[in-house]
Order: sequence, then C-alpha cells, then structure tokens
Amino acid sequence: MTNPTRILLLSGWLLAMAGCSPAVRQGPPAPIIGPGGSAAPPASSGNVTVTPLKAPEITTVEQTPAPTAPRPEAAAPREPAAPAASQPAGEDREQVALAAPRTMSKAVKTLLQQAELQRSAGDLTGAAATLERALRIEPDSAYVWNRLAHVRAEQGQAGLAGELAAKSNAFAGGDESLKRDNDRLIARSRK
Amino acid sequence: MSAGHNPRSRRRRPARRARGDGFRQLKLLLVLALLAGAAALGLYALHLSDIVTVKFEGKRWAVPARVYGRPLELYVGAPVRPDQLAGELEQLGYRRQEKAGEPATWSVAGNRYQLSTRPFQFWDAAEPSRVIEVTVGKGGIEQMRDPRTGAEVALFRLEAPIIGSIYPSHNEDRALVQRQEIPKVLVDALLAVEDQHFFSHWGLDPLALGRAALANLQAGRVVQGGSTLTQQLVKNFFLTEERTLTRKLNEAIMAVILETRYSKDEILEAYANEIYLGQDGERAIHGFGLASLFYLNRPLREIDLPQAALLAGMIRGPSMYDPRRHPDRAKKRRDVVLDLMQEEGFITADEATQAKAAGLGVAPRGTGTAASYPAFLDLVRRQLRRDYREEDLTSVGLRIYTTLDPWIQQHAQRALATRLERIEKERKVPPDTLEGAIVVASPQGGEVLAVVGGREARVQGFNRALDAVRPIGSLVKPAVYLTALGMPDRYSLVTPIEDAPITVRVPGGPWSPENYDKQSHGTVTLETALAQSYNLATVRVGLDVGLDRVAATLRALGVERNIDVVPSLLLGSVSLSPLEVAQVYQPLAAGGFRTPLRAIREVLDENARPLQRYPLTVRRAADAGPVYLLDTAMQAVVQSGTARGLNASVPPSIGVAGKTGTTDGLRDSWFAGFTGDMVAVAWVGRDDNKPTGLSGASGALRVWADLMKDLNPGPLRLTPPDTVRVEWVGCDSPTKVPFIAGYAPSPAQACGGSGSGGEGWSQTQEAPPAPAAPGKQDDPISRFFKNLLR
Repeated sequence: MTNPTRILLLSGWLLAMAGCSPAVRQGPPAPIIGPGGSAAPPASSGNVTVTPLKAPEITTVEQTPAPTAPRPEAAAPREPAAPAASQPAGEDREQVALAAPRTMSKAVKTLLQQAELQRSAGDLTGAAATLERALRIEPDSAYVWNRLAHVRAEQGQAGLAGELAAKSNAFAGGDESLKRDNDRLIARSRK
Repeated sequence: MSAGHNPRSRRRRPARRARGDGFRQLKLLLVLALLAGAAALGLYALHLSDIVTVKFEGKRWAVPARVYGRPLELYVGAPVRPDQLAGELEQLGYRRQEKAGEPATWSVAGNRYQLSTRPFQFWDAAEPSRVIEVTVGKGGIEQMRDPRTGAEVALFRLEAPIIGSIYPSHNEDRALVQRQEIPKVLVDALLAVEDQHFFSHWGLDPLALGRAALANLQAGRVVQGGSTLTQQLVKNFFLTEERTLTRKLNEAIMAVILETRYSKDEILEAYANEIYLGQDGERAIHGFGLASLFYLNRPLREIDLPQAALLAGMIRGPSMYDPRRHPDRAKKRRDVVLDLMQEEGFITADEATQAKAAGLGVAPRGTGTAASYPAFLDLVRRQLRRDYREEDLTSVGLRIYTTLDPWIQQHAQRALATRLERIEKERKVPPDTLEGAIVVASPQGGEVLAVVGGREARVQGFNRALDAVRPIGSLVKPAVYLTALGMPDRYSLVTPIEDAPITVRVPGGPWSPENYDKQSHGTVTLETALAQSYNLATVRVGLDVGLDRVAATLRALGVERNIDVVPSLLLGSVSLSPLEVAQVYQPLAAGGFRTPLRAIREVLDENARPLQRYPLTVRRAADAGPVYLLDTAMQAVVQSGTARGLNASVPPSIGVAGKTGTTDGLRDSWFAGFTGDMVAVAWVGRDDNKPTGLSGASGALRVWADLMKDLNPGPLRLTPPDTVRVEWVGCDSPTKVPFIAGYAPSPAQACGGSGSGGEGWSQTQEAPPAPAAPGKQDDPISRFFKNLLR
C-alpha cells in the first residue's frame, strides 16, 4: 500500500472518529434473524412474518381439492384451543373408554397416552400430529386410526373422521366394539 | 432517518478553537480549508454511518429455508439394523468414541450402541440431549434403556438430518450462528490468521497495515492484507469488489463507524455469518455455520482445534484451500494457521503438534448437508410454492420438515446408478445412454420417502421422477382388472379369459394388439392373464367392462391428467410420471384407501415455532374386496409371473405385489410394486425416447430388486376384508382362491364344472342372484365393442 493512501486513510479515520464520537448506540441491539435467534427483531424490515398464501391443497398429484382434501393446519400446538363449540365434544369423549389392544408396542402406547393428554388439553392439532407419528410406527393399528378419527371429529372435520374410521375398520379384524365405534363416526360423517 | 432528527448531529464539533490563534491570512485560509474539508468529511461520514446503520440493524441476510429429512425413530421392534444405525449416526456427524460422552458421540460394544444425542426442536416438542443404550439385532432394535438409571426407554427419535436448503437466485446459502455458538478455538484461529489486534483496535490496525505494506513492497506484489476483520466485513457487506482508492477510503471510514457503534461481539458474529467459504455447484457457502456443516458435517459449536484452523485458513482462498479438492494444500494452510496460533500464544507447542497430526476431518461429499437430493428438494419446492411466496422460502429462515428417508434415498440412488451401468455393460450399449427414475412412498401414510430423478442423482437437472411423462404400458393392467373384479357377478380371479387375437376398429384403422411373445395362450384365468401380462386377454376384459369404467378407476386411484379413452388405454397408452404412478399404486397398497402423496410434514418459522402442518388424510378410492383380490393376483405376478426374477433378490416371504410394464419398441421399462412398508416405482428409458431393448423385467424390475435387496422391507400381509371368502378351487390340485363373498363357486361348480377352462373354473352363478347374466352387460360401450369384434 502506498504512502498517500495511508495518509488519506488515517485522516479519514480521524475525521470519521471526530464526526461520530462519542459513540452512542441507538435503537435496539442488532438482531440476528436465524434459527434460535434470541434478539427481538426491530420493527423495521427485519421483522418478517410469514403467512401461508392461502389454505391450499397440498398434494403432489392432486390438482383439484376434493371435499375432504387435506389442508395445511394452522399451527397452534402449544396454545390449547377451545374445542369447537359446535362439536359435541362430550359425545366423542365417551368413546375414550375403548381399551387399547394388548398387542400394541410400548412406543405406540406412549404416543397414545401423549396424544390423549394433548387432546384433553384441547391441543387437537398436537394430538393429531402425535397420532400420525404413532401410525408411522404401526400403520396397521386399527386403534390408532380410530383415535385419529376422533380427534378429527372433535375438530369438526366429520368427513375426514368418517374416512379415517373406515380405514380403522379395515384393520379392525374381530374387534367388534371398535368397529361399532367406527361405524358411529362414519354414520355421523354422512349426516 | 433524516439528519435533523439525528441526535448525532449535535455532537459534531468543528474545531472552532483554532480561530483563537494566529491572525496570519495564510494560516487562516489553511485552517478554513481544513475546516471545510473536515466538515465535508464529517458529513460524508454521517452519510456512510446511515448506510451502515440501516444495513446492520435491518435484516442482514436472506436466510434460506433449511430442509430436514425425517428423524429416525428408535423403539423396540423398529426395523433398524446395525449398519443403518451406524450409517445414520455418521450422516448426522456423530463421532464414534471409546465411550459416548458429550452430545453427538456414540460408542458400540458388541450389539449395544450407546448414543449421546444432540438436542433438537421438533414440530411438537424439544427433544433434549440424552444418553441411551440401544441393543440392535439383525431383525431390528431389541432393547432400549437409559444406561444411567437402567430404565427402559419406549421411544426416541434422533434429530432430523439436514438435507438441503432453498436458497435465493443469487445462490448464497448460509446457516446463521450466534456469537455464543462460535467456539473459542475458531475465534483464536481467526484472530491469529486475519487480525491479531481485533479486540483492541478501532476498526483499523495501522500496525498490521504497515507490516502488510512493507511485506508487499518487499515482494513487489500483494502478498499480505492488512485489513482487519471489521474492514473485511465492511468490504463484503457494504461495498463492491472494485479496488479503488475511494472504496478503500469508504471501507476505512465505515470500519471505524461500525466499531464505534457496535460491540466487538456483534461485529464478530456478523463476520462469522458473512464470510465466503466456498462453492458447491452454484451454491455459495457463506459463514462458518454452513461451512462447518458443509465441509465437516457437524454444527459449528462442535468443531475442534484442527478443524477451526482449517476453516480459518480457508478465508484467504476458499477454492484454493478447498479441503475436498486440494487436501494437501488445505492441510499446509491449516498447519500455518496452527503455527500462527502458537506464535500468538493461543495454543501451546504441544497442542499445535497434536493438532497437526490430526486428519482434516472432512466429511465425504454425500453426507450431511453436503449430500444433495435435488430431485426430492425439487418436489418439496414445488409443494411449498403453492403455499408460500418465493421470497419467504429463500429469505426468512423457515425450517421445512420433510418425509425424506435418507437411508432409502441413498439406496435408491445407488441401485439406479449401478444397475444401469451393469445393464449397459451386459448389453454392450454405449455408456450413459440409459436413464431412470425411482419414487418410494409409504403405503398407508402416503409419505414420499425417496425420489431419484436420474442416474446422476446429485446433479440437479431433468427430474425424471416428476417430469418424465411416459406411457405406462402394462402398469395400467391392475386398473383394468380392478375394474373387472369390482363386478363380482362377472369376474373373479379364476374367471376364464380368452387370450386370442382380437382386432378393434378404431378411427385410423383397425387395431390388432399382440402379446409380448407374439403368441396366444388360449383360455387362462384372470389371475394368470394379469400375472403373465397377456395383452390379448386384457384387451378383451377391458372392452368387456368398458373403457370408460377403466378410465374412471384410473381417476379414482389418482390419475389427474386427461385420459384418452381409446382401446389402447387398456395396454397403457396413458402417459404418467413415475411420481404419478406411485400415487396410482398407493391405494392398491393400502386396501383401496387413497392418501395424497406428501413430501412435507411441517413448516416452522425461523425461531422454530410451528407454522403449518400437512396432515395425513385418507379417502376410499376402491372397494376393499376387489383390491384384496387384485393384490393377490399382483403377488402372483412376482410368484410365478413376469416379475418372478425378483425372487432371486427379495425373499418370497416378503410377498411383494407388483406389475411390470413395457412400452412399444421397448422404449420404457417399468416396475411398480409394494411391500408392507414401501410402494415403489422404477422407470428405465432414454431421454431421447429411443428403444432401450429392455422389458420391464429386464430393466426397471432389476433396479427395483437392487433397491429392495438391502432395505429389509417389511412383509406384505394382506388381510381379507369382511367381503371376501376364501374357497378351495380345482379338482386335481385344489388351491385356495379368494372370492367376493356371495360369488364363490359351489364345490360342485368349482370341480367338474363345464366350460373350456380345463381345470373346471366356472364363473359363479349362485345366489345372491346376479342382476345380469354373466357375460351379458348393459354397458353400451362394451356392447359396441363386442359388436365390432363379431
């Protein structure tokens, strides 16, 4: 680096120091936008809220949403939502008495308990997520499909609940009480 | 921000005292000139200060959405074998040690694995770091417990692996880190090699500058930079690449401004996230956070001394010191950094020697975030674009939790690439002329587990799994027979079908389909017609049940495209992508329930707060009874039909059901099939659509077999629905055949019955009375074609 450059640099530095000192920070600390960022974003452009464009259908191959087409669920798993007022919640609750089959693995039992806690706390989205996790482990568990059907029914998704109950029936084998319960859900979905 | 409102303006203090001294005009002029200069520069600095503030306090970077694969679920009975567990841990960058200790380490003794896991924020809960002991046998996980308490652990999920990111068009990718996540060793290395006086200078380091100038003068060229970290940050952050005096001056002023307004920690954090550290195709690797993941496959906070030195050394020349391409150069450079660290007193001579003895620790390409699954990410991006704006995907740091199973994905990539190469060698066709694609999904959940878009799976290019839309050939036949089996009064698995020449008059001339072997096979059962993929029999059945019904079945199963309802539809003239075929076969693998295929489970915002979930939905697409009958016939395809070659690779006990497909002139080779836990589609063909010489069995089926061979697929256990009765059929060697209840033949009919079937198959005519006599139907289109045939 040449000498004139250095002189210029240094004078620039000095002048800038004069112009800006004493240094007093203004505004909130510089935020970091990122995973686990602790700093609160300022009210400026740093604060970005993402809202899904619409409630679209989400499937790959499906272009037109069927009446029961899946919709992304708005997430509120940690905020207990009040059960849908129009939903006969009590009617659904009475079915909890159905015993989980003995053959069920410990893993799935654990998830069922967790889902039941979430459901009774009003966190239906969370309960559904937990039951879906259980279905990944035991996709042919009639009981888990039945539980998921109940959660959807409580959410007011009667159509989906009926389909899930039918799916449960397909795996129910000789479990007549489970089948009767599924049939009630199916009947309700057709009302 | 206007200057008037800026409290800083008060503090500008031109040196007015100067006026009190001396009265000589020259001096005055000089002072005035200086003053004017100072004022001008002060104002200029103020202007720059605004630029710095706005940029530094606003959203500094567009943070790409980070995409994660599925977390591996561990529980007793999970079909996870030792090689997979070790493989998954390696993918996650876990270090194998004598004894698992700090997070992200593991150890193994016999078949007992001890894992110390990383914490992870899932959609529904935060999973803390913990130590578990997993006993793994050949059949899967046998036991799980907490080694400290001995308590049983019912269920545990490893963290979700990062599989990529959705970065904006200027291709900058980064994984932001916070100051406290930057290990001290890295800060030390950084200071030693780039800026020794970082914590004491004011943005500029005249000493370093002088030293660099001297060194450059001596060498006659630029060999050393005297820029501080602050200057480097300013240069990257606010300025262009040009090397002019003005830019240098701006850089210096802004560096000082930055230093006066922000703390050293803030500057260091910004630097660590901004710095350019390499290139991955068109993706630019920015920041130590991503560099650590990309080169070392571990989060930044886990790196050790030699790795910190490696990363710090790369700043000078990311491509020159790329540890993957130039490991020797990178090692030399790392050792230089270690020497500098020792000189600066950050480490002892012993530590330096020890660190120099360590390997580079670079993760091979294809692990962790260096792995790329562009075809799957392409699917994720397409699904996300329906719900999110592009700018949100590429800039606000969303976390996308997907369904990708990296274990299956890697097997699929390998299966396609190696098998195509072998086929080319065997058949002496020019290398790299064959292409292919694979899609794997979970039957009941509809989760897309793997997508391979071509044999060069890591290269983002034509995504054949989604975009190669080809005639599906005989893959359509299950839809034809499902339609038939849905008419139990007319068709069962043992219904005799004529496999004899047939000519159909269609616009453009008569159509005379042929069998693959150009032979007719006389009267065969419906099951045999499907298992052996007889075209003539299929066309007869299809025309009998009606083309429009077959098309309706296809639509119910999930075909969204326009279907040309012409007779050649029965032999698969309809064109679909491998992904669409997977959707069509999914209901067949799930008892007739259709679940739209999904690649995304959940979306979280940049603070890992849940934003959106994509729920599991089901809908009945076909009745359970006919689907059950069809599935048993599709198992016959593998047991004794066109796909029997599969038995050499996949144990018959798995009970795979599937169908081969071959199109005119051997252009497309297909196999679609399912096990208990996977529905998978393989396609092999050429991009120029020229003949490959491959049938479904000699091409795609072998790819499919290679894929399944090592995956430990779950057996397909078909449970007959209530509407199905299993009966003994046949006299000489009776076999069990499932029928729709009420339509099974009576024992007398089943044996010694009339008809041309030979074995005594007869179409059931017993109660409940069939609404129409068998063979006669009210379907006008079928009648029309029947008439045509006469």
